[in-house]
Amino acid sequence: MAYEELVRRYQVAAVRAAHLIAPDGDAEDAAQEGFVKAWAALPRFRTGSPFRPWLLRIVTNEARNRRRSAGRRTGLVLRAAEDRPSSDAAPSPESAVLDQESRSRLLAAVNRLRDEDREVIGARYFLELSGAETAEALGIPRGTVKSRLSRALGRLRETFDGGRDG
Amino acid sequence: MADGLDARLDARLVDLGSAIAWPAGADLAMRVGDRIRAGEGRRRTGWWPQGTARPVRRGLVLALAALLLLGAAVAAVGIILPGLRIVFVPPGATLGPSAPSAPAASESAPGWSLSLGAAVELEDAAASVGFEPLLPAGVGEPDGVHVANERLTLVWRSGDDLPRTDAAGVGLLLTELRGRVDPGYYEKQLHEGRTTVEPVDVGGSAGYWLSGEPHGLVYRRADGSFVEESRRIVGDVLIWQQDDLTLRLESALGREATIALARTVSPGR
Repeated sequence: MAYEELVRRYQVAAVRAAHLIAPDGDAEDAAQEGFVKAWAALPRFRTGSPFRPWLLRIVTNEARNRRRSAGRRTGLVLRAAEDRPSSDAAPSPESAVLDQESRSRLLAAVNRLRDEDREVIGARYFLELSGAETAEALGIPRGTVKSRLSRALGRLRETFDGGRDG
Repeated sequence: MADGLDARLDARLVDLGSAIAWPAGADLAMRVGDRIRAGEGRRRTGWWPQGTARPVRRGLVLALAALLLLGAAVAAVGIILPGLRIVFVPPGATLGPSAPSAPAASESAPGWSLSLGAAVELEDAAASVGFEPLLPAGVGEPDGVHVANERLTLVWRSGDDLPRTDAAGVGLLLTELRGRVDPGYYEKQLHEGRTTVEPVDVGGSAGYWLSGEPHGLVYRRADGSFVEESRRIVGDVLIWQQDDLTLRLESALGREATIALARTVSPGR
């Protein structure tokens, strides 16, 4: 089915986006629901515009609906080091010196960010959306994306100021 | 120094993204497909324009709903996305190939690889599909007549007058369904990319010229469920209505010639 092909191409991004918004929720469920709703909304899709951020907007809305309103949140977690696939991106000089501990520290700092700041960080760095795509996917103005990113990066930078690997 | 720090933080965040334990993301495609085929994802209101009577009598209502451009290359991966077309079909219509037990076209017949349906004689087609086949003028008798459920497909070999479509040996395909194109429903015209839909007039009837590279046609029933055209589309497509039939002409003739040919389609002798 033609739409199934579409789902296949975007399912990884959709599940990641849902998990970013609601790490404690059922990301696959939110993504699945998002795809079904996107199908129904296709007539409203403005042809010629990029599909991915439009789809992700629908998915993130679903994820928000599934976010637990109270209770302790787990947040994003790292895969165990041995689970990392060997086909990872070519190591850069930076990643050559990174280890699980420093990744943990950075992720903890990301998890401590305000939800809205973590979402733009995740959209930009984990989903690799552009500024314009992030704005559409999260339903916020372009300027807000910029200011939240700036604020969030400032916070994250503080984590490393004066640190051993600063 | 700030720049260096930013670049390092940037790189670390990108690296972090690939180190996070994302959910498995098992194949959603089939589950989504199943739900859509079961009729989910249909709008509760608004598919039908105000004032349009809902189709309750026998006979199909076909409306061109939307064309989604998915042709933009995904830069990172370099994949060209398929186009998607949505059309409405009446309740009860099935567009799949005929049951396995039906006689298949022989390998020498044009379009044999397309699963057009059971091969029948032209004079027997009406009894199978319940309506009199319409024929275009100037291209001679069809080289093949096929029936699959309620769909009639006439096929002509490619040759001097009929340039080849994407299917080997096939110059022209005329698909006929009992149905009606609903001109009140909106359609979208693409301004860029690999697929386009353009409303055209075919002898006073509303029609649509679809060109480019379709991935497939999906028909939507009045009850909201979907059925995908299981046959590969082999050329540019002209869809239009004539009497109570919806017709689909696939060819490599180009827009003008196809529209001109469509205007000649009429009941056979």
